[in-house]
Formats: sequence, C-alpha cells, structure tokens
Amino acid sequence: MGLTVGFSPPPSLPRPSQALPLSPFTVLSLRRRPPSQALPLSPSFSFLKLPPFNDAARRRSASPLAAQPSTAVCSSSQPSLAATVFSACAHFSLPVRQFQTSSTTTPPPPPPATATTADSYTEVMVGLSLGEQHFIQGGIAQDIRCDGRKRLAYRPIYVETGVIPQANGSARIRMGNTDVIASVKAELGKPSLLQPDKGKVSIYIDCSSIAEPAFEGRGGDELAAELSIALQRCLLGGKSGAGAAIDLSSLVVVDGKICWDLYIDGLVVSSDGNLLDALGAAIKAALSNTGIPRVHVAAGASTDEKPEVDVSDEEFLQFDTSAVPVIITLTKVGKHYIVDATSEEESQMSSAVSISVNRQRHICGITKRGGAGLDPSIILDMVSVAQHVSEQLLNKLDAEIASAEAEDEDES
Amino acid sequence: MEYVSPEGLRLDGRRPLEMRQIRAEIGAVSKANGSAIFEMGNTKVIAAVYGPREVQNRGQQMSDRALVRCEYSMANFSTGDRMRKPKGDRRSTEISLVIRQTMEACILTHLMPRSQIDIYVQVLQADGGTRSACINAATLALADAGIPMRDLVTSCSAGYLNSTPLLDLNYVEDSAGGPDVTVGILPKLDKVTLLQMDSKLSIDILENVMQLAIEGCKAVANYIREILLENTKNLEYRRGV
Repeated sequence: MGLTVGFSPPPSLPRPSQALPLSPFTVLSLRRRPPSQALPLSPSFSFLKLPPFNDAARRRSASPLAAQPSTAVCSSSQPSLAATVFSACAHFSLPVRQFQTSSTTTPPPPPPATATTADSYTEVMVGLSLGEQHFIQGGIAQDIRCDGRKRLAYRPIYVETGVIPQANGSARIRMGNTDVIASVKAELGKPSLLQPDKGKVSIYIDCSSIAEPAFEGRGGDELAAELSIALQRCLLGGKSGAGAAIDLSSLVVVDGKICWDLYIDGLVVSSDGNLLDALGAAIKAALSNTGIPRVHVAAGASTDEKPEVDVSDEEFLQFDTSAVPVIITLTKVGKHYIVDATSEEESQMSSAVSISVNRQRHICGITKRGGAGLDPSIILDMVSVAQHVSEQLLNKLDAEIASAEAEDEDES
Repeated sequence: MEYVSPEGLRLDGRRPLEMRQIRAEIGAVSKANGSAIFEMGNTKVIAAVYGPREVQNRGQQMSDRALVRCEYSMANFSTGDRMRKPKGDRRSTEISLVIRQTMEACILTHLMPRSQIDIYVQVLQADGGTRSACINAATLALADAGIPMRDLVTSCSAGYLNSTPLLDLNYVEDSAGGPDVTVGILPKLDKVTLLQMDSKLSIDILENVMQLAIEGCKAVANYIREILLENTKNLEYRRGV
C-alpha cells in the first residue's frame, strides 16, 4: 500500500513533440502583466479565430445543453461580453466579422467580474490582466475554454484509494491541478439522545497552506468552513437524516448506547478551482473504500449501561455507496455557466450553484454562492443541466473508483 | 517492554542499525514553485515552497537577505486516533521554528534580498520522525524550486533503547520515553546544523548514537541526491536537450 502519487510531469515543461493540446495559457502566462503585453500576437492567439464567430445557431443546435435558453432575462443588464472580447481583438486587427452589437465603437465596459462580491472563493486572488479576463470570458461565451474544454466538460479525473493506511477508508482525487485527499475514520461513540437509532457523521475540511500561501495560519479557515458546510448540506441531508448519502441507522451497534461515529476529513493539497466537486467525489471514493469493523456485542449485555463489545479485526462491513450523490458546481461567467471551473475561471464568476445529484437523478442539496442574483428560471435550468451532467460524472467516477480499488487490492 | 528481541530484531522487524524504507517524489503540488513528498516508512509528509517572491508584510522585509518562513501542520487523519487540532499549537510552532532555522542555514539568503521564501510542510501520516521527514521533504522542495543552497540538509533520528542504539525510531519506539536524538547535517560540508535530544544519555553513548544518526543522514542524502539527479534528467529529456 502507500500513496502512489504517480510522477506528474510539471505542466510547464512539456516535451516539444507532445505539446499539450490545451491552453493558450501555456504561452499566455497568467501572471499579472500590463494589458499591452497580456495578449502577445503569438501563434497561440490565432486560437480566437478558430471558433465560428457567426453561426451561433449551429452551436445551439450542436449542444442543446450549452445553449442559454433565457439569455434575455439574465443578461440585459450586463454589458455584452462578446463585445468586450472583440473590441480587445480589434486592438490586434483581427477580423471582426458579422458582429451585430453596437458597442464595438465604445471603449470596452469594465468586466462584470470586478463587481463580484468578496466571498471567500474570490479571495484566493488570481492576478489577471484585463486582456486575460476578456480572453477567459470570451472563450466561455464561444464554448471553447482556455484549456480547450467545452462549457460542460470536466477535466480528467484520477482516483487513488487507500492512500492513508491508518484510516478506515481514504481516497485521493485529482482533477487537473486540483488535488484533494479524503479520509474516513470510524470511532465507537454514543448516539445522541434525540436520535438513539442513528449513528453520527461529520465532515471537516482542512485547507492546507501547501495549496495556497493565503491559507497560512487561520487564512484557510473561512474557506474550509464554507466547504464543510456545503458538503454537509449536500451529502448528509437534513437534521432528520432524510436524503442522507449514508444510511445512518446502519451505523448503530446497540440502540441508544453504542454507534459508530464517522469522521470524514478532507484535505486540500492543491487548489485549482472546483474544490467542492472534487471533495464530494473524494468523499464518495473514500466511502467506497471504507471498511467498518464488525462489532460483536457480548450476549445478554444489552441491558447494561455500557455493553461490552468486541471489535473484529478481520470482518469488515462495506458501505453501499451507490446512493452517495455527486456534486456539480455550475459557475456562471457572463451569460453562460460552466462546470469544473479552474481558479482563473472562478475569479471571473458572478455566481455559482452547487447541486448534488444521486443515481436516481434526485436533487440532494443545493448551495448558491457568489454575489450576483440569479433568475429563478435559470436556477431551474441549471438543475436540469446538473442532472444531465451528473449521469456522465457518476459513471466516470464509479469506473475510476472501481479501477482504483482493483489496483489497491492488487498491491496489498 | 522489550524493544529489541534477543535475536536483535526490533518491533517492526528491522535490525537496530537499519532505516525504514524511504521514498521521495518531486513535484506533488503543481501550483507551488517547488514541492516534494517524502516518506520514511509510514511517515509521510508533503512540502511545498513558494518563492522567492515579494515580501507580503513590508515590515518584515530585509534589505540584505531573504526572509524565510515555515509552517508545519498535521492533517486531522495523520495520527492513529483522530485528533482535533487547533492550528498552530505549541508543538507545531516549535517544529516550524526548527525547520525554518535549519533551512535558513543552508539557503543562500543574501542572494535574494528583499524577498520572501515560504516553506509549508503538511504531515499526511505521522509514525515517528516527522521532524526529520519534514526537513528532508523541505530540502527536496527547495531544490525543486531552484533556490540556491549551500548544500542539501538531511536529517535522521536515532535513539537508545534496551542498551542498543537504534536508527530511525518509529512512533512506538519514539513514545517509549528513551532518548531521541534528531540530527540534521550538511552532508557535503560535513557539518551538523540541527541537534536535538530529549531525555538523558551518558556522553560516550551520545557520541555513538549521534554518529549513528549522522550515518543515517548520509544515507538519506545519497538517496535525495539520486532523486534529484533523476528528476533533472527527466526535465532534460522532456525539454528535448
């Protein structure tokens, strides 16, 4: 066993022969630079010419999900993003074809993202120049993002299980440069008086300072608390435990006396956006990896105040994790929303909605964050999109977890 | 309790002068300027280095050398019993300080005036010798970040139980209450930069135990050098040179 973190080549040094297919940003460094340097006329910039400028209709028909059904509702107050992008292009005398808005002659209005309120996600500042901001927003508007993904595409997901031998179950998930570890520890405890027939589950997230220097000291606590609460809401259901991903009554050993307390700990090792989805996936993987020791209660002792128990070293109970939902965060940038935003994209968001969906396509929890208001019809639309995306994500995640488990068993 | 069996084997089956298996890996945190994972047996730590960069707190800026900072933290799941730690308890503050001083001694800080280097170490699993593992991981991360150093610093611990000097104590041996000598050396310059011991030990035995720990440090240094060499070859290959 042991953490086999395969050597991941630093992305900054691709071999020339296998240059990364993505990202104009491998060239366009994301450091803060004066806007005049931000978009050098390097070959990578020809990227902007690639997407078809004119046939929005074709795009809409090609990906019905990505089409924004109610653009008029939400965007009327916002300046046209596309306009800002193209006027940025005009600097470099790129062909601006078939452009129908009237704002090309006016100077570009300030990007909407600067109006985003200070919620803790945006506190993790990404220094972006105006040109880079336009580039990200324009890419999203055209359904081709900085790393070449479509709006509703996830980054590749890598799953490893059993990375923490001391825990009852653990998993490490990597999505692009986001890297999180989740561990599950089970301890025998006493059920609460209000719910004597249920075990207890708690989720704690720790934002390590190795992920972001801003998390040093108590710096990560706010984000950690936000993530913990969002995960509790999405995975543990309400106070009654209804809609919980884990069947709490299966954690009871002796009614009202002994139960398992599950401590789910998440650790953010590297953060590049979309932490909530990654942590949700890691917890799901860790739970599938978890074995709870079988407990034998001494016969006839159930009337005692503290029954004697014998914790087995050999027999373990596995969780049925098919009911554990996945969390899909839809991040709204400009008129459109995207899944699996990187931290650069998150810095441009106006609001984000996290929806947890299970196998039955039931909604298990919703969290909205970010300052800008959303039209209710858009939220409903986001929910249906999330339901659709969840199916692909669940299938992919389940396949990855299964292969990680198989690998883990081979090793041990 | 018997920590060394009559056959001369320790609780985990090692011989007294044997180290646990060590494994290191460079580049675990893609966002950091340099990062590394270091494992000694079941002890596993990640170190990440950010910098040299602008000093965040202007008051701490030094005009003649770089500011080196370090933070040590333990994950909730790193210990056998789950701990609910307040971040920045006294133990972590002390270890942060030890790591900072040890690393500062080998970084050529005068080459980077008015800048700041942050070293963050996170313990994923604690099984004794976290201090040494953290220093070794930090060395690798600093080297990965390309920060100029006098030499690598490597560290290893040794103890003395059942009248036997033992190399690289694990958690059970560490908590036995015997002396625990942690040594950090600059292997090329052959200088000791870190020396800590709790409990008491007679002078001539201390000499033996310390010598043992230094041998351990040298073994770690050889391994780290190999890893760095391999990493550099990898980079060279990927650059197509």
